[in-house]
Amino acid sequence: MSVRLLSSDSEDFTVAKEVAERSMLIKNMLEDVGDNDNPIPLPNVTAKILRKVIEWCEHHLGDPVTNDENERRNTEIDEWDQKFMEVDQETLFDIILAANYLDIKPLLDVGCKTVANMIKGKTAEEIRKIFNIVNDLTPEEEAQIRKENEWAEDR
Amino acid sequence: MHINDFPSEILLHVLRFVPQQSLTNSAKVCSVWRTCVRSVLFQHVALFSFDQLTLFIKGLTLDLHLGHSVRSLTIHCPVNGCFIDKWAELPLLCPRVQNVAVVSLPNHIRGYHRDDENSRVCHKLAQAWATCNQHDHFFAGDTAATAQGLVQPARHVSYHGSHHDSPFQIQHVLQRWPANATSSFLSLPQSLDLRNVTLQLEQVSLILRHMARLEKLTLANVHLQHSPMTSQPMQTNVATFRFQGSIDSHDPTALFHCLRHLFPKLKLLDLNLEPAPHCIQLAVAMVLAAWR
Repeated sequence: MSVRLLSSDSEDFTVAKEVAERSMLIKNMLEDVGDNDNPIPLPNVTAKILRKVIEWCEHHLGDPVTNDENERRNTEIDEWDQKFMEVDQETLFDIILAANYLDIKPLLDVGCKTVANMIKGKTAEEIRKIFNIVNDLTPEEEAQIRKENEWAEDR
Repeated sequence: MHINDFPSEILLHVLRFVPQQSLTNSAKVCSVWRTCVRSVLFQHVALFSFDQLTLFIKGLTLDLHLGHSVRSLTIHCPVNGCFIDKWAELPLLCPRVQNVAVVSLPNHIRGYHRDDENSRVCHKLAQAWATCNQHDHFFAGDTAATAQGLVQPARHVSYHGSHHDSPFQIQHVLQRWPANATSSFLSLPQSLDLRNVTLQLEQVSLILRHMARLEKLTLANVHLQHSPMTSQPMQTNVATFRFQGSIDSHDPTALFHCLRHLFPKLKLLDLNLEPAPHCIQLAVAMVLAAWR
């Protein structure tokens, strides 16, 4: 059985129901509306991102769903997902937002882990550079942050 | 799309995957990140030395809102006079802590405190436990603090002895506590978990007599010794009793009848005896039959 999904830029996607149901949002919608042929509108997801999300859902179709927080905390990303996430920053952020909106927790985790890996081991200045962030902290605030977090510094 | 356009819950989710060392750098990125890092970095705190504890407290005193993020606190640190002074500062600085653990204490443990007004500082404290290297006092330890009504009661209390034959000292501790402090502290716990101790039946009775709200009692890796018990009827509310360990009794039937007497409202009994000689198995079977 298949389901039709309508992206924000009006592109129509037909996908297997079990693929679409990786999204808790779509699963709940399907339960609410029952079987019908109308496309499900997804106003927060463009066709470009929806295509990527569907690709991810198809690849991970058979994955067991885990609610184990420790397992979700694991920072490792499998090889296929690493390749999948090799996209420009804007696309990566859009995938994360789409995963959050569509309620696909494993995809949200993979996206967030990818961003976390970009932060890992970097100085504040390097992080600012990677994400194009402007430092709005005063020198006094920076000094206070250093003192507040001294206990957590590696020693 | 810019990373700072993320809703804060997504940025927080990202930061939860960042190791602590990198988090401290992330805090210095900008004010948005600083706010998010604070709640992640201070949510679950583990400290591994006295110096680290000192720095942590120093950090908290710079901004009193910082400690409000702390939900769980684990301290691996030997206890001495300096530690106790530092420890005493924590409840005021971390008023929303829910779990406190003190690991590897050689001598003495203090409970988490209330302040000296009548309001409780740590009203969200749900669980506190301590693992001791040597024989130690029961979790709430400090007599002076207890006497002033400063000890914060916890709903779930654990005591882990260091080895199977550590004698449990609740009787000794109870005798030292003033009556009013004892009742205020001991009236709250709903579950008690004792591990790695040698315990006399009379002590079980004492615990149940004082911890009137106890609903769940777990004794794990415990050596239970049969001792004379008062014949007063017990009004305990324990519904779940789990026992794993060995028992020492010349008359196991009598011992299990005593247990039955101790837990009149029991709904779940989970016994895991080791070793379980024939006479004990028989006693268990008899008592279980009577219990039903």
